[in-house]
Amino acid sequence: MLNQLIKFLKILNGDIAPGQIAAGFAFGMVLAFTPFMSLHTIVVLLLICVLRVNITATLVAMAVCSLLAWPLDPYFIALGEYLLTNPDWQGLWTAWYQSDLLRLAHFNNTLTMGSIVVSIALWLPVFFISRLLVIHYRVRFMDYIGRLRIVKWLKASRFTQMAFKAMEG
Amino acid sequence: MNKVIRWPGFIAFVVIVALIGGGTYLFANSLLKSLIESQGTNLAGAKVDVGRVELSLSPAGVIIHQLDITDAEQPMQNLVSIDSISAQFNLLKAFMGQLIIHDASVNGMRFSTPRQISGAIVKKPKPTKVKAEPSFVEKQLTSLGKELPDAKGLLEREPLLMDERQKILNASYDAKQQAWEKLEPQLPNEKKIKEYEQRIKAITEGKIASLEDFKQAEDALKQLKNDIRQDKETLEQAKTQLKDSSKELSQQLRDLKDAPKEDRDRILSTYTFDQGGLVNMSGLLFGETIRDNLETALHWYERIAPYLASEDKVKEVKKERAKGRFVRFQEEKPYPDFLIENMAASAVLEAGAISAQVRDITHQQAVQNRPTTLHVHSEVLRDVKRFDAKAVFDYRGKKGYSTADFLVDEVDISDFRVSGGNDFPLTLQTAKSDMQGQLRLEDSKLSGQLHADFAQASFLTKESKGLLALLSQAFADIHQFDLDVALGGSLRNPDISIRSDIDKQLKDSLETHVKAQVDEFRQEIEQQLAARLDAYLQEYDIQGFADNEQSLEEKINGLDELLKAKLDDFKDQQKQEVKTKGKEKLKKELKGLF
Repeated sequence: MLNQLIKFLKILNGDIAPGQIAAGFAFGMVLAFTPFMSLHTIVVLLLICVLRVNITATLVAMAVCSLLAWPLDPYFIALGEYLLTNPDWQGLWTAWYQSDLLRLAHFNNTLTMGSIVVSIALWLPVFFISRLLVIHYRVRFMDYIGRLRIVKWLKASRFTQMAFKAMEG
Repeated sequence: MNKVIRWPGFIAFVVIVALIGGGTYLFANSLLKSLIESQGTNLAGAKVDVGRVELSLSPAGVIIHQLDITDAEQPMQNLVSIDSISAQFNLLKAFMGQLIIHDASVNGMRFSTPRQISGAIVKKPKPTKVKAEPSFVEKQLTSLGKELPDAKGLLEREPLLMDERQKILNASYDAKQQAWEKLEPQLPNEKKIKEYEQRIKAITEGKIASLEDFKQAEDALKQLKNDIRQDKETLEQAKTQLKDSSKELSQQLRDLKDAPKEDRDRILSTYTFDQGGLVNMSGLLFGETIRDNLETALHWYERIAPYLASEDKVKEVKKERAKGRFVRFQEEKPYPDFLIENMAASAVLEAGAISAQVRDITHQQAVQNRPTTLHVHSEVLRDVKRFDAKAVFDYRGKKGYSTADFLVDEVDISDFRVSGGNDFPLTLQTAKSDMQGQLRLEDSKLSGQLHADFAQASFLTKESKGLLALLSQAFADIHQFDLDVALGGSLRNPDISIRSDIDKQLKDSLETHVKAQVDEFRQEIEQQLAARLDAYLQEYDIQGFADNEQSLEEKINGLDELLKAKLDDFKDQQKQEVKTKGKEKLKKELKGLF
């Protein structure tokens, strides 16, 4: 975890496009909020591999959002329950239910449905907000943080240097 | 485009997925083999061996070769050994968590086959064998095997009620006799009573010359009467004692006289066979076999039924936190979570090959609205012309039920052990039988019936003694009989009622012989007991007590008479004397005139 954090700081301070970092954040959130053992996970992993998405940002987002997912699960389930049992939507769900592929995606699971809907709804806001935050960080805070004693000490410490070397190697 | 797409990432993804997929496919066979062996061993409590497992993707299926399940009780023997099990399933549904097997076949089932190496997994300490209690049938037959003993010898050995009561009477008689002998000398005898009579006569008839004489006589009479009264009282007390003794001894004597009858009845019930027992001989003989088979069937049913029972109730409310629930929608062709649509099985039994067809094995019958059905059939069994059994396990509704119908044509029965007791081992040596039956289990309530006809029957028993010899002969005469079994009660506590014309045949055959023998034995016992009673009765003179009582009564009456004696008044006596004298004088004067 410490390694990931150091690597993430390096990325933040590097020249990687803010959009890649933001996309990594958004996909990390999706993986953290939704159940792992489902078809959509493969699709998200494929997108992460194929698109130029920063994987370190994805891992950091997964770690942070997983902590949020625990208390949010009941709300995802409640939303999924509401959507799947809503009489107005029964026709659509029944049609989907006849498809083996969609059944394989566990769309009829209340947690899967609720968490995917929330993740999709939050994907763009998370992407744009995190992109904005990365840009602002680099412009306004990067120099200031670089001058902090603790950061200097971290950069100078043997352990940190070894860690960076190990990561680079 | 290249700014957005990362082609090496795509290649890496494909490679990783291919590696995972390929690795799984390569190792799946051995993984599945290990899984079946470990899980099977846990379930069976003994080693489960699998020869080989073959997985195929198109069509998706699995074949398990040579499955051996060790008998936990006998580790050098397999409970069942199966040549191959094959199943074709829906792969896509399997990924969705539904195991849908369209066709399955179990080939070459063999039971109780030997193993080359022990299949024991843990060496359990062998339970010490408790000597089994003899069965009810054995107990009944053992009692039949007792030969009727010699009556005289039997009465010498048997503790008799008559002897016990004689001892009580004897002790009581001796005590009362001694008491009487002690009391008798103290009682006034005949001589004393005569003496009282003479003294009264002397007083009442003596000459009274003066008033003084009269008073003296009156005092003497009064004193005498007091003595008589004291003696009378002593006699009355003695009489009461005698009466009580006589009454008690009479009762004890009556008890003694009743004892032989009670002794006879007890001896006959111990040493002879109650004819009533023959009324349900078939129940005794066939009951345990039928009960054993039924219990085995119900045991297996209890193990299978929970897997077929509906689990709708569980589904209605189950909401697990952080896992959600799967909402079901209407399907064009609905499938339950687990289903074997069609399973064919063949078994090689000692008696021959048998095949079974099971359809719609699932724990969610309501999803497809079809019950699980089983059809077992064979026409190639060694001793059976045709065997056919159909069972339906219907758990679609809230109250599930199961039914079974079976038919067995022309069974050649040979050496069927009906009773295994040492005293009366009974074997149905040969017979031809047709059987048919129905069984229904609903809400734990059992009902059913079985009818069997036996022809060309031949029973074999070992050489017996006593009443068993007669019973053996009776069985030897039976060549044809039927058997009707009615089942009721509950799954845990089934009631079995058995009726057969074998009872009537046995009863008819035995009745005459047994009755004659028992009558003869009864007469002998009665004679012996009567002789012993006579001998006892001669020892006691109970009538003597009654006679003594009578004698005392007479003495008391005599004393009562004496107490009535009176002394005339002095004046009356003088008047009487004057009157007598005047009469004599007048007589003399009249005599002078004539």
